[in-house]
Amino acid sequence: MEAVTGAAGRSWRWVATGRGSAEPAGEATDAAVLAAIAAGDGGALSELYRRHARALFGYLLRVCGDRMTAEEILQDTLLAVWRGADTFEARSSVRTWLFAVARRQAYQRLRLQPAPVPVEPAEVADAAPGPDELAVLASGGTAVAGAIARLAAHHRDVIGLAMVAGLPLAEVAEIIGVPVGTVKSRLFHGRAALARMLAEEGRRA
Amino acid sequence: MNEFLAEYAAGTLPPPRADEVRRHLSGCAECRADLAAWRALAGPGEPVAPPGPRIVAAALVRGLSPIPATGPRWRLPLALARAQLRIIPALIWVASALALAVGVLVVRHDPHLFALVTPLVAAMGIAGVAGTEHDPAVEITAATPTPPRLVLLTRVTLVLGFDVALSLAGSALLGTLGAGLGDWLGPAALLSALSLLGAVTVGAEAAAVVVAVSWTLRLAWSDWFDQRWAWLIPIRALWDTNAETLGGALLLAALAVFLAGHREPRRVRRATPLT
Ligand SMILES: [Zn+2]
Repeated sequence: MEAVTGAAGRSWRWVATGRGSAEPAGEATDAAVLAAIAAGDGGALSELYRRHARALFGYLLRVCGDRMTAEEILQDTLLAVWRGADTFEARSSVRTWLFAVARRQAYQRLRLQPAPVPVEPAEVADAAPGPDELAVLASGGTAVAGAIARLAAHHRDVIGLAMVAGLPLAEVAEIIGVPVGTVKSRLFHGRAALARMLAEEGRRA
Repeated sequence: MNEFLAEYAAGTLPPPRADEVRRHLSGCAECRADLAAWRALAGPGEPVAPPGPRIVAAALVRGLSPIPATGPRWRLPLALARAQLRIIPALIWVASALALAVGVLVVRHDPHLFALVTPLVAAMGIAGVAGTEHDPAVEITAATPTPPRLVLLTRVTLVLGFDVALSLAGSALLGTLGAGLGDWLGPAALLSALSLLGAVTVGAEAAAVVVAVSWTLRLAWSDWFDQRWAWLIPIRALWDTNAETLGGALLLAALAVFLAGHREPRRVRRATPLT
């Protein structure tokens, strides 16, 4: 990190000049970085991206399935953050807001449909796949990635947010705008659908 | 116990619960199998590395080029003004407003002296936005499809509009709106145009010096000069509000805008490294 003085005399403490530099004590909060973005500081956008790049890209990659589209949506997201940083109202955390922006960009570009609400059963138990099916899933491999790409959008959505980006379920619920119970049930249903898909393929092969 | 396994696999289960799950897992093969299936959901193999910082620069280039992908053409100047408003240093607005406020306070007993303050404030503001040394986004601006002349015109219009509005308010406060306007309008136009030309050709600091020297000469001018060098009298008339002054200011400004299209990006200090 190197202190860089801005045009208006403000200090851009977060402009990283070296790769893999350690986080300094007292680093600016996400909210402060977002405020700097709203004030037109391009370096602050770089910093916000540096902080969330891995989780954000992991999520988008899971939702859209291919790297090129994920990068396009990621760029759309950064542009939307640059233009909309002044609309952040601190009702949620910056990370929640950031993922909500990314999710909206993904849904717009991929023209995804929101989840069919009435079909969502609150019960989780009946969605449980059998041990054999789970074993096929647990063995992993490239077949899993292919099968995930064929899951319903609202299943890929929660898997991307909770399992890939590693966000707490309460935050996932806030981003999507559904109760935590619905997030849980979508996770279980998504996993069950995936396990059945893989087992089906295994039987056919 | 298995209702916590998804969060445990994702690493988002709070510590006391996570310890509980960890203890249970050591003795329960069924849950271990369940956990392995959750872990498979996070994705096979190595996590994919996200794109480098260049993607931020690419997004910023799109953000500063105001040409909307869709939408009516009339929105272009608005979008351009909005984009520029965000990168003009706040210092310029604050300094202009402060200088004019102080000016109003100082000259309130002789309102005509207000004409000595306004041209200087406007011209200094122009030097501040027209020079590229202090532009945090100059590299990005240089890479946008928006012509540099258009960017310069937008910035100058914004600052000049701001300063003229404040000066009018100041004149109104001093009760000299009708008579006082003529005192500063011509000099302000000429000095601003001079400043613009200076900022575009030799840089903001040099332009500020030129402005300060010109204005000091103008203030120091007395009949003594006229008697000694009679040929200077027409030049002195330039600092009044008349057609020649305004025309001259327009010409200088046009020359500056023309040159701005040809200039190389000047040496940039203190710019934000994006990569
Ligand atoms: Zn168990």
